[in-house]
Amino acid sequence: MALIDVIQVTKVFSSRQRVHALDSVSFSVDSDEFVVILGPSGCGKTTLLRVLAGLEFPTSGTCRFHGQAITRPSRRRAYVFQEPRLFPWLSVGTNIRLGGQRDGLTELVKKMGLAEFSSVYPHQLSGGMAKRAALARALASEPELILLDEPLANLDVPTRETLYPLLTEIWQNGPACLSVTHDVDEALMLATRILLLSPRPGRLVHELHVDLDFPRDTRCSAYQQWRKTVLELSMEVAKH
Amino acid sequence: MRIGIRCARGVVLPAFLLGVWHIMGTTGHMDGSIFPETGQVLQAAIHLWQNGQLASHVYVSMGRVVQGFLWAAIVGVPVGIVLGWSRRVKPWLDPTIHFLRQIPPIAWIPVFILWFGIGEASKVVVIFYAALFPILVNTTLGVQQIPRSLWEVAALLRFSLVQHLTRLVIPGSAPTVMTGLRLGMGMSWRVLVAAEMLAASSGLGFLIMSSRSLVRLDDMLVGILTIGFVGVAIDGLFTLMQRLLLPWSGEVYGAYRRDPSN
Repeated sequence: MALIDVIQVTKVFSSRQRVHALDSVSFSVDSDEFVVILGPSGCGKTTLLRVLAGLEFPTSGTCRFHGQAITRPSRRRAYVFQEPRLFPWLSVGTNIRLGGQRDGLTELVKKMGLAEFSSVYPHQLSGGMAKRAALARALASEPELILLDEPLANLDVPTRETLYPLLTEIWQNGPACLSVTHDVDEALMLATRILLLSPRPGRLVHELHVDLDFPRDTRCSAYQQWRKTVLELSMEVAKH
Repeated sequence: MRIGIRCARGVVLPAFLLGVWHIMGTTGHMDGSIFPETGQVLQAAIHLWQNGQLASHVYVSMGRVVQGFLWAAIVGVPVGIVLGWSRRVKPWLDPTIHFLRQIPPIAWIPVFILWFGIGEASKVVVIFYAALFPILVNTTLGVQQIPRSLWEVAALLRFSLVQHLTRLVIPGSAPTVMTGLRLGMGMSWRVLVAAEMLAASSGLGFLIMSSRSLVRLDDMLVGILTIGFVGVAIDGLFTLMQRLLLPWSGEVYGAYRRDPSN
C-alpha cells in the first residue's frame, strides 16, 4: 500500500466565479520517494497540496493516507507553506516547538542552522532563515510526509543552493516529500519522480523517474540532458 | 533626540495660546467675570491642591472610572473574542450591539439614576456602558483580523482550544484589543464628568458644577484642565503598556499585509 493515493481528484471552486482547478488527477506516493509536481502557475498545484493536507476537500474523488480517506489535517502530514507563516508574537524557538516536542529538538534546530536564532522574533529573520524555521517546525512533529509548496520560491540563488542539500538530507533521513513548483531546476535538483501537470484545469500529463544521483550538480551533462528533456516537455504541455 | 523635537513642536501651540491668554488678561482686554486671568487660575489650582480638594476629586473620579472600565473589559474582551471567533454567534448578537452602541451613554444617565439611584452604582454603570462598546467592537475586529493563513497553521498543528486561545487568538488580537481598551478608557473619562455633573457630591465633574453655582470660573477651569491632563496621562500609560507588553505590535499585520498570498 502506498503512503498517499490520489484517486480521480477533481476540484472546482464555485464561489462567485467557477474555477476548474484540478481534473481527475490520480497518482501515488511511496514512503521513500521525493515527488515533485511540476506545472505552470495557476494549474492547481497548491490546491492539490491543500487537499492532501486536509485543508480543502475535493469536489470528487478521494485522497488516501495509509489507505484511509483524508478528512482533516494531521501532524503526520506536515505542510510547509510558500511563505513561512511563523507566529509573529512567538520566538523562533517557540514557533518550532509548537510543531512537536520530540526528542532531539535542540539538535534539529542546530542542524537547521537556527541555534543562535532561537530567541529572536520571526520578523528579524532573513527569508532563508525563516524558511529553515518553517521546515524545522514541520520536522518537529516527526511527520511521515512533508508537503512543500514551492519550497524555494522567492529566495536568492545562494540561499537556494544551501537549501537543496538540506531538503535532500531531510528526505533521506525519514519522511517522504511531495513538493510542487513551476521551476524546472527546483524539480530536477530534488525529485526522484516528477509529475507534469497541465495548465488549468490541472491534469497529469507526464511522469518522469529521475535517476540522477544525489547530490545533484546542475553542471554535469546528465543533468543538462534531463533539464532539456523536462523543459521541452513542459513547453509542449503549456501549448495545449 | 527626534522624540524631543517632536514633543517640543507639540508644545508650541499650547504655549502660544497660553501666551495670548496671559497678555489679553494682563492688558485688560478680557472680561474678568467670564474669563479669568492666568494668574487667577494658577492661584486657584495651587489653592485647590494645597487644601487637598483637587487630589480627592481626582481620586474619587479615578475610582469610578477604574471600576466601570474594569467591568467593561471583563465583559467586553471575552464577548468580543467569541464574536470574532464564531460565525454562528455573531448574527445573534450583532444587531443588538449595533443598536445599543448608537445611543450616547449620556442619554442613559437619567434612566440609570432612576434604576440604580444617585449613588456610585449609576455612575459606574454609565462608565461601563460607555467603555463597553469600543472594547467589544475592537476585540471582535482584532480577532477577525488575524490572518486566515495563521488559522490554517493552527489547524495543521492540531491546536487544542487552549492553544488556539493562548497561541493564536489572544496574542493575534492583542494590539487591536489594546486600542479598544485605550478608546474605552477615553470614553469612560469623558462620560464620567457628565455623570458627576448630574448627580454627585464629589469628583471632577462635581468640582466644575459646584464652582459654577459659586461663579468660581477659575476653579471650573482648573477642573477642566485637570480632566485633560489626567486623560493624557492615562492614554500615555496605555501606549507605554502596549509597547512593553506587545513588542510585536506593528510587525504583525505589517508583515502579513506585505504578503499578497494572505
